[in-house]
Amino acid sequence: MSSSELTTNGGVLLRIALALLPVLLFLLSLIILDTFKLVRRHRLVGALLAGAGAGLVSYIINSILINQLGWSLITYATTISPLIEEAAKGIYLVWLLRTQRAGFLIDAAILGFGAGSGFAIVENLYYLQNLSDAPLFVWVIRGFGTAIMHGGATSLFAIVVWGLSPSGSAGALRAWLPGLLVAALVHAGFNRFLTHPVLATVLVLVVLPIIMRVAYFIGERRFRRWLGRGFDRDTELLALIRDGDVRDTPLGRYLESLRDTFRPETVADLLCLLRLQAELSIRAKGILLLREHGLRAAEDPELAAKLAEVRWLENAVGRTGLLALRPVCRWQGADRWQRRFLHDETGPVR
Amino acid sequence: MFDINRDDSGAVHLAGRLDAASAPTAREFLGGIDDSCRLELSQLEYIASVGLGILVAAQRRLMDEGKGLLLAGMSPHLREVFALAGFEGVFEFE
Repeated sequence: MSSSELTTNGGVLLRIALALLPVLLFLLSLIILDTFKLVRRHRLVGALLAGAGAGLVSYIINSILINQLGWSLITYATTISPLIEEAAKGIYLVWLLRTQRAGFLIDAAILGFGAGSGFAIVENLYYLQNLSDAPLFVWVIRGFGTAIMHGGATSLFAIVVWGLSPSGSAGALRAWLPGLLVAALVHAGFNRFLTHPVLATVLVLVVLPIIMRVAYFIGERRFRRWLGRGFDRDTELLALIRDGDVRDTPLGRYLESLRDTFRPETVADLLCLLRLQAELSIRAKGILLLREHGLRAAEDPELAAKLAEVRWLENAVGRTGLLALRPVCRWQGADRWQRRFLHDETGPVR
Repeated sequence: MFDINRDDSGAVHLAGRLDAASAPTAREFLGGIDDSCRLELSQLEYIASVGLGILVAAQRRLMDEGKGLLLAGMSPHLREVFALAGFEGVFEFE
């Protein structure tokens, strides 16, 4: 191999590294900073793939619209394309939050950045193919600026949606539009600043880590509060049910009042459901408490059976029973995320 | 009311309620333990999650040095909570 070939190959590798590595390293740093390791590997891979898919879909839509509208590229890049691209990336976040696959600010922010990273990787691979002769400076800007902006904008989308959702309700629909607008504004602003690419890149590299650090600080504080209060509430409920003292408590009196509406066996099922939810809730929070210190919880061979039992009991008491249980139910809002979390614990994917 | 002290045999006795208010006392005391020891919990009336976190942190620190805590005298309820939470593989019990 001649020295010129070596130089050329080295140049290609350097371009690929500059285009792809910064965003992946930024994502890795977010994962490392996640004290409770809320994001599972398969979920992160899913986010990267979903983002990549969003990149392909956006490419098709953008190609059609650019031809149809006949606008200048800069006008299109600062108006329509940010909305399309952020909406395409955000759909995955909508699904994650609505299905309790992301339950907290931190995992939503990381998975948002993951989706944005997947998008950026596809986009930069496209440009590596089509702008192979572009100077290294272009790849510095695309890798450290555009790619990290994509991750950050989708992460901001997730942060805004989560922040605007009512407490305990992951991803209310009315939060999607502000989330999309914020992400699209950041994206459009970056594209506008691309006439000054170094400034745009420096802004991304300075501002985004600050935003993410603040989000982590708030997210971790709220998560710890949920973890602590929830654990204490669940252990107290378990003690009440176990000791048989539940009749003398507000909870017991409430359950007693249900006898007027439901058959005795349904009330018994409601009590069983409460107890099982408390047990599983303690399990989930115990795993997280240990994970914070880098420890693994002992395996629970009955975990899958308990989750199946919860599903059976929920069917048995029906929608009316679940509605009646709502004032005292342990698994509302963010707590419902626990079921998904525990389900993941029973599966082969870790 | 929470109390924590060490007897002549080296065992650490916890009594009363280990909650958010008493957590700093427990954290400071257990943070000073640098060898394997027995925690006597029979007089412990209540332990909140913050207290569990302190025990787990102390255990983690000791495990890194090949040492550990032995939890003794736990109430059936507390033992059940530890089992449910998956702490059984982390601590030794008596």
